Amino acid sequence: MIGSITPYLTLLVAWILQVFCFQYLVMGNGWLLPTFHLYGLILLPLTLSPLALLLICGLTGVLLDLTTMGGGIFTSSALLMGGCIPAVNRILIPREGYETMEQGTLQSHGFQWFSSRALLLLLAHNLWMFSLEAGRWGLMVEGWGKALTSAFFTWGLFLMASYISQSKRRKR
Amino acid sequence: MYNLWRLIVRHQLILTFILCQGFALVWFFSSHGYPRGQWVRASLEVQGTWNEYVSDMSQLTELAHQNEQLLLENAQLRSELLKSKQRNNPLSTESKFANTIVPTEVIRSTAHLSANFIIINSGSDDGVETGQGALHRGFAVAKVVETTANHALLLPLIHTGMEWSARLGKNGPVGRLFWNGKDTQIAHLDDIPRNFAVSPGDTIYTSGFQGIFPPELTFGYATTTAPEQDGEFQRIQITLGAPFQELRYLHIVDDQASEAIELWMNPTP
Repeated sequence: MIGSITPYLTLLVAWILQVFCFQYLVMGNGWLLPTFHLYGLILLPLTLSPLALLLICGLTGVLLDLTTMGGGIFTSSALLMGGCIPAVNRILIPREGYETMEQGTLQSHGFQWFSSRALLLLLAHNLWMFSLEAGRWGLMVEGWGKALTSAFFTWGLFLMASYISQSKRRKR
Repeated sequence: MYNLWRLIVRHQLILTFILCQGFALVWFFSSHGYPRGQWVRASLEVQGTWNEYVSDMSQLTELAHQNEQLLLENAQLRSELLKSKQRNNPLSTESKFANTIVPTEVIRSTAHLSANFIIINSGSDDGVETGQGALHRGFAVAKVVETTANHALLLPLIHTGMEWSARLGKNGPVGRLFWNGKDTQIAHLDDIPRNFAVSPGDTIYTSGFQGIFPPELTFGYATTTAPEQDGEFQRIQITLGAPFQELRYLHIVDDQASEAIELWMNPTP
């Protein structure tokens, strides 16, 4: 079920921002590496089928790799995250369950739920991505450190984006 | 057959995941160390055009035009210098050193990855070809691995998948220079015989054996750290000459000797 177009527009905007802006925002010699396109993926409908989630994540990763010289690393990491999303959603399911086509936004589920979900998924994505990138055991521990700091950095960007979109809605 | 189909349908999610992840990993491992091919060229076009635009915007406040003029002049002077070096070499009867120098600008470079890369705004239309070397203020920095009409992809010294042939001093032994993925200014030189004394500050030159760089260009300098012993050989720590975090302008050099050697090795019938 595809439903409303808003989550897909959000994904498109997040992907464009990553390609044209955030990929240049690498700081601290790689210790703060933003992966903002994941914001679009975590805001996909919570009731979307796991197969559709996996395919959308894979496609997002492929397009990102093709435009940023990633060479498959974003595809692989996004697929892993796509596989983790249903499991994380099940862990964090509220007592009343999810509504059809509901998005996992900060506004609808609160700071704690949003942050737990975003950080779990970001950590899964980043640990896989930085381990692959390290390519050898000697660089693995440093890679995991970078995965952790980059996850928190990207989570901060997610919070900023959420607050910005929230304040725009309030103004309307 | 029906049972197999039912099994596939029942486990479609995990099968799709394994299939897609397999594709992604094959893509990653086949391109991570040495990115070549159609997807790299397509990606270079997209990246190159956008990065050039970003670079132009960031240069609005700088004296970009004057820089380019100086770069061109510098390239001509370097070319003359190399030619005069060749004339002064009594052993050479024809060109042994680089004679093509293309000044170029870096429009994207990474220094935070284990497999770093550089994109420049010159391509095959400007005379840049795969296999050529790149210099920064006279220091050897990278190798061209892929080109399009207007852009080229380079792999720098700070790439864990690359090894470079280097000579300790002008007449010393030749070893393998490599980067271990940590400090962007530190590399290591392996396979230097233990009996060869190394002093801090000794210059590490290109050997010219790989056909990427002409000989006697500088990679960097031996540091004060005591060499690690490994059997009959020692490993020397090197401070690289080029500042990889702030590369801006490069010169692409063409080692003519390598083309002649290629011809000798692959004679046409």
